Amino acid sequence: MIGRFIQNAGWPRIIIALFLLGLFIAAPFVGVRVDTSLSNTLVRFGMNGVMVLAMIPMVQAGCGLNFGLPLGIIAGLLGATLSIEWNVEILARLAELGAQYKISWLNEAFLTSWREPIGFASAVVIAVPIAAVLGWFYGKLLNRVKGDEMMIATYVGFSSVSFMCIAWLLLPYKHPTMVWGYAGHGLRTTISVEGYWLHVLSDALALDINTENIHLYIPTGMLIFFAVMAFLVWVFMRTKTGTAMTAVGSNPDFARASGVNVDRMRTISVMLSTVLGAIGIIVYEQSFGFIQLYMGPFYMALPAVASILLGGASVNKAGILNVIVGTFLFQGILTMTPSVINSYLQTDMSEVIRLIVSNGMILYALTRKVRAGR
Amino acid sequence: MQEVMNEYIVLLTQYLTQWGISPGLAGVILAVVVWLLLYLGRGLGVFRFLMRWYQRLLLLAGLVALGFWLFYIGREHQVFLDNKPMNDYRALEQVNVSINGGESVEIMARERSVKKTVGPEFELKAEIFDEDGEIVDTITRTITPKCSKDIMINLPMLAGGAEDFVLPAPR
Amino acid sequence: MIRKLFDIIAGNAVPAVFIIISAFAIPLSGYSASYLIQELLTRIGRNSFLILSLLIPIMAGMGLNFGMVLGAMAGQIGLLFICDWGIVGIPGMLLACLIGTPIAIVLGIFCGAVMNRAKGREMVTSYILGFFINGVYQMTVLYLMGWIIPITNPALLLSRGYGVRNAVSLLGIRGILDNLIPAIITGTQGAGQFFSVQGGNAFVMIQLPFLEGSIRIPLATLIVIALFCVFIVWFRKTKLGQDMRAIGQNQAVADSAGIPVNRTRIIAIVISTVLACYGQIIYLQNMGTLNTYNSHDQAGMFSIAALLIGGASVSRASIANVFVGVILFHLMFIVAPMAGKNLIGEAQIGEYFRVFVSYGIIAIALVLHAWKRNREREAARRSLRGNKGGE
Repeated sequence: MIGRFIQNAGWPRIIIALFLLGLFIAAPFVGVRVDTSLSNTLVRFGMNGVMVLAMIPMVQAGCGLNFGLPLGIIAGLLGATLSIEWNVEILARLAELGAQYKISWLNEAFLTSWREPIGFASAVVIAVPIAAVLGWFYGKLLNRVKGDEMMIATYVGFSSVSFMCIAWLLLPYKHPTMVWGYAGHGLRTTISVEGYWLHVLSDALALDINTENIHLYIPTGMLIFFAVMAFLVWVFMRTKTGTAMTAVGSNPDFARASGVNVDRMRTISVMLSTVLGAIGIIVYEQSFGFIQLYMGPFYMALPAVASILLGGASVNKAGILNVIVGTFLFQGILTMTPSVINSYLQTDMSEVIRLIVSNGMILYALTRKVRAGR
Repeated sequence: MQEVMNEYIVLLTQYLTQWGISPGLAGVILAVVVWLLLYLGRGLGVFRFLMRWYQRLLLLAGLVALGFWLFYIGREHQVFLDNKPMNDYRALEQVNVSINGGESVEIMARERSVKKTVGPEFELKAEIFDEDGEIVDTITRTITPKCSKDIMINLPMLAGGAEDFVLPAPR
Repeated sequence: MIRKLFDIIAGNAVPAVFIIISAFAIPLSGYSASYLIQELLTRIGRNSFLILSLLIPIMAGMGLNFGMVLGAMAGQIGLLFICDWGIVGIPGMLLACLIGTPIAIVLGIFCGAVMNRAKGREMVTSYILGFFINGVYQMTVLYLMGWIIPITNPALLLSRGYGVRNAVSLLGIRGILDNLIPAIITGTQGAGQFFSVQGGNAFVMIQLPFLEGSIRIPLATLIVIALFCVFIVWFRKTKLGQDMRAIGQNQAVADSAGIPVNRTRIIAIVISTVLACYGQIIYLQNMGTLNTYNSHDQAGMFSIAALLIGGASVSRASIANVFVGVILFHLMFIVAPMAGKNLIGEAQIGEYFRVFVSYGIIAIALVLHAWKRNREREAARRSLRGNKGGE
């Protein structure tokens, strides 16, 4: 029974889970509050969840781990920055539409009170088509390089990030909170979303218990958003397209024989993955409070990849449960190690532990013998 | 660890110099011996497996010895040149010190200076001046700091003819 | 004839594009010829050895060895030790190599074994392995050094008493190999003989009348690199080299021919890792400072990009590719920021441009390789089926 459980879960996962448990147990003894740690873990879970979710479609369609997540992130960044740049115009246009079509609720008062959610929604609305287009090209590319997807995805991600570095400098953004003050052009490296859509999801329906004994903060809105996205992905993977996609991933030859267009399925999966990445980064930013441009998204794929693997996914099979378990474990370790180990050893080992755990996990998944088929 | 290594090297070199072998020569001899053993050990069919390990061990020993030798000849020392009174030797008015024939450094009474040298030994040349700026004495000594990191030379003691003028470096 | 010419150009599209970019960027940058030649010579000496270390795994069909950063880390550990002990000059460099070698061998065996478990995706595995070992390296250098591993020199340690500083000065071995045999190319001024003596040092002097100013050549480094090239040419002809080429062609065939495939692959990686270790030491003796936590990262990326720019592919690389690559890549490296500044008024653009080109070129090379391989596989499958109608 136990042996079977261990075999199912895999040794690294159990070690890491026990490590995390140990950290939670040790926390009170070194003066770290369990409740605040738990709140932090939940916040980070919500921040990163959607980006981890973005791994599922590509893994299921047999395209491997999406190391090219930065491509989706770039679409998200474009959406986020454009939503701030055009914030005023969007609100004005909406008011115009309300007047034009006599929609009674779409009035000034509504727009003022719902300014921030509208800003967030506009970021998503702008980002999704960009992500879909980029994902389509990216999918076409990956179809031509079957077998080498992961390495190429990594470098597609890197080169797109460094290409956008040039673009952020040259694109004609004008909004004074986003461009460098002295030059008047070129976006700043970090842009605050305060006053636009800071914490729109996190603070929606948030549970904030702040008494003498307990400090608990649960970002309910963000968790609900994640749950909705996860549910949508879950439903999608059970539609006709979704099952065909899974068939392509588990046995491409069989799928082709039964009349599934393999390349088309793969392209759809890559597009979906990219779109989820774009939404994921916007969710991340609304909670984090800042849009990080330039080299910011460079290594963002690695934690997401590590999370889903930590949750029990393999290079060619992943599910919603893997995402939830993995993100919780990974973010738990990231929040707990600095606080617990710092107060014990007086040093910050979190960066090193993050490097070893995340890359060790990816390495473990890559070297595992793959079951029949590829 | 480092102290043990230093001591070991000092003992080894002392032992070797008794036989008139300088460390450099020892390195060459060792290399030749290792090569010879490797060469001779080629064709011994029966002991082939053993020989292979034997050779490897020797090669390893040779490399370790090479490492020690490099450590010995490449070590950089800071030589503190101290012109302060010590054990009844009075501070000198002015000393010009040059190491290994390099640029000389002027040290007035109660001053201290520092020079860097590389390798197990160096030649120190001290020109001692009197109050009138005339050279009264020129001392040339070969000093062997071996593997110790930094040393201090007390110039009044050197000029006075004492033998224990090499002191540990100040912290 | 024209077709042949076209083939040559198509076969060397990447270098050709870079020559064109450079041809535009050099006049824009406004640098003088002697400055460019000086910089290029320095960078050839600095980087060639690292890039050459990539050749052997490519020969063995293991792709671009992203695991070369492991060797670079081993070299850095060697350098940290000699810095602590205060060993300087050529003995210092040799001792650093000697300390780095066993570390590089152990890491190389580990890397090879891991890659054998992940056949078919060696590159991504070695890439992630680089990150993983980077974590272990940081743990060692940041926490264990000065605590368990004896490092005593306060110039090396952080003020808290353990862990190595971010930047370590390598003054003791700075330029030691580059200046071992001093050699200078001068313009019209200067003495007229081949050897000249200046300030007690003998110089090799070469005169080129059209040049202004003088150029120092890192002659000893270039000799070491030349010896290494000879080694590679010789190595290809040995039994081991032949085995590696056979494995690179086809693993199954090599296996049935009695070649120990896994073992040979590990050896290829070990050689590459050890050479990368020496390469990093040569690189850092030229730089003169060790960025404890970054130097190795850049080593891998820039070496691979340079090799690919030289016209190599994932499965085929020659010594010529290395030198063409290092010249073209670093030419762009030197002129891009200045050209960017003069063209658009912002040096930052040039910076980003060269980073983009480094990554982009790797991406393109990987895509072309995978594409070609998939087409060949498809063609092979079709020819196997014969002409019984298509799919």
